[in-house]
Amino acid sequence: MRFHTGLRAFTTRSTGIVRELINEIDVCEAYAPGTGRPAPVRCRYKAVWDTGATGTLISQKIAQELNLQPSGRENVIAVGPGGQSNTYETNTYLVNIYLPNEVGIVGVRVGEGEIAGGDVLLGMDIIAFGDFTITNYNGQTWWSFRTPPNEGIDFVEEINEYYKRPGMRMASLSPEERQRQRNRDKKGRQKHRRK
Amino acid sequence: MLDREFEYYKTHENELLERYKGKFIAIVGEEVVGVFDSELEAYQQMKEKYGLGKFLLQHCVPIKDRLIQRYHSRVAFR
Repeated sequence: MRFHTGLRAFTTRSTGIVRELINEIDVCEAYAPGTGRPAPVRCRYKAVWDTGATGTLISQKIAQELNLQPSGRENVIAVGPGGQSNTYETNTYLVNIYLPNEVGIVGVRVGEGEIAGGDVLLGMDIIAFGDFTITNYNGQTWWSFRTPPNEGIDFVEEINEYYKRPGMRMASLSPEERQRQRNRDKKGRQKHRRK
Repeated sequence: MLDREFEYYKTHENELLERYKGKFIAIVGEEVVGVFDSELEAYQQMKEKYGLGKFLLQHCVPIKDRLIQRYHSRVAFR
């Protein structure tokens, strides 16, 4: 594996299976580090990872504690029970977010809302900055994040590579997965021929 | 807060898009007071000039390219 320059990462290891991915993160008003400007006050909050959220949200409490002022407005859609969706208009703020192990993301536009189980909702905008994995091996949920994105993660490919080793027998795949595998192989052969 | 600025953007969206497509614009009242390539740069300059909470930053991209944030759980808005 090759590592990109400036790659940063963290791993959270829980001692059991968890149903929510929660980290303590730092938030501050947006600023560009390295410009000589003084760093704004930075506070620690409970953050919930949510792949069902397109963007990141902060609670009103954070906006008040950090003395943030809105720099934008945006429309948001909240999908409720039964798939019913409602559209709202909310304030947006520009902040820096520091994930564990000083994995910093500068100048993130976040909305404001009430969040169940935390003060920050980390949405797909943050997740899209890097590679994100979750494992429940040995009855323990671990999640790991690195930024910038470094390499594709493909468990099917890993399994196939493993069984390609001499003396190993191919694991039994489902008919759908076998078909997908055949399609992938065919595509790969066609691509190779075109070259 | 910033209702007037956001309303201005929404009612003049087409002409602003034509003029500033892809840029971040800063609006104070009903006037575009700055045009920037990055939101952070816009934020810092406008903060120094007007003070926080006095300007609205808007990314000038067509509605179809603008992501409307969507939340499937855990969130309530007022």
